[in-house]
Amino acid sequence: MESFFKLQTIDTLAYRLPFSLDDYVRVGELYVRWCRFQTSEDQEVLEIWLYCYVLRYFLIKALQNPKLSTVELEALVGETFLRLRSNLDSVRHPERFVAWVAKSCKNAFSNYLRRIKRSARIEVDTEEPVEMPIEGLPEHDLPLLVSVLVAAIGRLPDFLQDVARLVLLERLSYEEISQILRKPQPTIRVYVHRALERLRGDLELQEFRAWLET
Amino acid sequence: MEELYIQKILQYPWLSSEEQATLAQQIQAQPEWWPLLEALQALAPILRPLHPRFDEAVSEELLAYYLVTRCFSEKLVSPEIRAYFKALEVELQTNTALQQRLQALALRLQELMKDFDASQHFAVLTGRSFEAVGGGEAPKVNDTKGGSEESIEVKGSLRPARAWSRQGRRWRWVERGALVVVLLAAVYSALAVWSRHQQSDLERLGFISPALLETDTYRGERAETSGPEAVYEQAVAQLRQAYVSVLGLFPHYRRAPLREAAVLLEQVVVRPDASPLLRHQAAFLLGKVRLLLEDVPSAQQAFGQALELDGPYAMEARRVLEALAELEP
Repeated sequence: MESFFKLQTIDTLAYRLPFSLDDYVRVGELYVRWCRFQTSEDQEVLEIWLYCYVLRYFLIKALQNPKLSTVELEALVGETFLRLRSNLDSVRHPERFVAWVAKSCKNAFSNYLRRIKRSARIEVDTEEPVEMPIEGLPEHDLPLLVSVLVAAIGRLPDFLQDVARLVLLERLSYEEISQILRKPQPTIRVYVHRALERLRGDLELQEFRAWLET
Repeated sequence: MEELYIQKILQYPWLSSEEQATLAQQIQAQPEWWPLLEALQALAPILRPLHPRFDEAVSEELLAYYLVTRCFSEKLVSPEIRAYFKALEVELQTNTALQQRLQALALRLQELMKDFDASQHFAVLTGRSFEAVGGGEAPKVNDTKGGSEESIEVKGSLRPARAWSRQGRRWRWVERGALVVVLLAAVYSALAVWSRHQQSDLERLGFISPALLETDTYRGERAETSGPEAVYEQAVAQLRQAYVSVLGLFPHYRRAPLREAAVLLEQVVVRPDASPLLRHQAAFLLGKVRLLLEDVPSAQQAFGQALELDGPYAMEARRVLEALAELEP
């Protein structure tokens, strides 16, 4: 399962990023810096990240919606990217920049699905046989969810981070974690407990949870 | 038994609602586990979607996320995200149905990206364009089933991008070539103008065009070795030797061959067995040679003869004579 083809044309862009696509902490820092100094270098990196994020978001959605053509994908990516780019300086809470981007993508995709449903309904009214599009928007934005959790784990004390990663991201058992970290199982249990307690009290995670629920 | 509970509590967010209710009941008698369960209950809305059951429809998003992420450069995928996909990768090793679903998504991705060039699209949207990075791996043709026969041919999907790239490189070379040609032409023109200004009036008037030095015999027969034509040819050969130039710039004539040519041409002009046309050509050439030797009176005399003998160069001889007259103080 190791080998995969690369999307070369995305690589050409993404190689310009000084951090990984999901490193939302650094994206947030970049955005705050851009807001303050507005340098062309920061603007360029910000635009590349924004484009790659939007493209990845819609690619994931397009894979789940066979009706979405390459032309529509290109249009969705282009429209959403340009809208976000032109409103870059209007984010009210710069620290929530990534959430703002994620929400905009979600809204753009919801609007697309609504448009498709509407046009399908019109065609049904004209008695032409139409295949209805695939059912609605998935509840969560998985890449965002994973990254938010990864960031929250990163905020834990060092000694709890590995345990939290192994339990929550890899879903390993106490026994497996004990073997990997070479610590007795009772210690691992205590670490897991502490990590979960801290994550439960993590303000950003709570905020994200509230945002998910709205 | 306790071990089983502890392990099950850790799985709480991913249990079905019935299983969750059962577990909650089971540990009611063990208050030491309540805080852990409460923490997991609080985090469940965030944790549950992270690891959907592979037979659930929602796992389609996980597969799509996995596929798209793996298609991005490794550099862009953090170790945490790679770790997150480990459980899926373990499952994929044995779950054939899951492999088939991933395979179908991979084909869909290939189809979507076949005509989509992200770099070009970005360039169109922003006006920023980037060269392909050297560090990037060449696109691989691989499979999603660990080396199975159902490999995915993705070269086609990269063709538009490569074609654009190749075309772009070709045009850049054409542009560079055109620029070099224009620069060379400009330099040559400048040198030609300079070279022309470097020449004296006599050199300009005495310039012998290559057409004048062409000799041909009737039906390609060899000329007689001692006849006037042969002497004329020898004179022409001397003139060819006398001419020195680099790429047509800064032309000048060596004097020794010029003098040799002059002697030979004088012979042709006075030979009674030479045809009037040949004598006319020889007289005209002699005039040019004498100009180059800066012997103006003799040159005028030779041009006068060419005019008298009449022929194709009579008009030119008259023009040179007039120019020479103007040059006289």
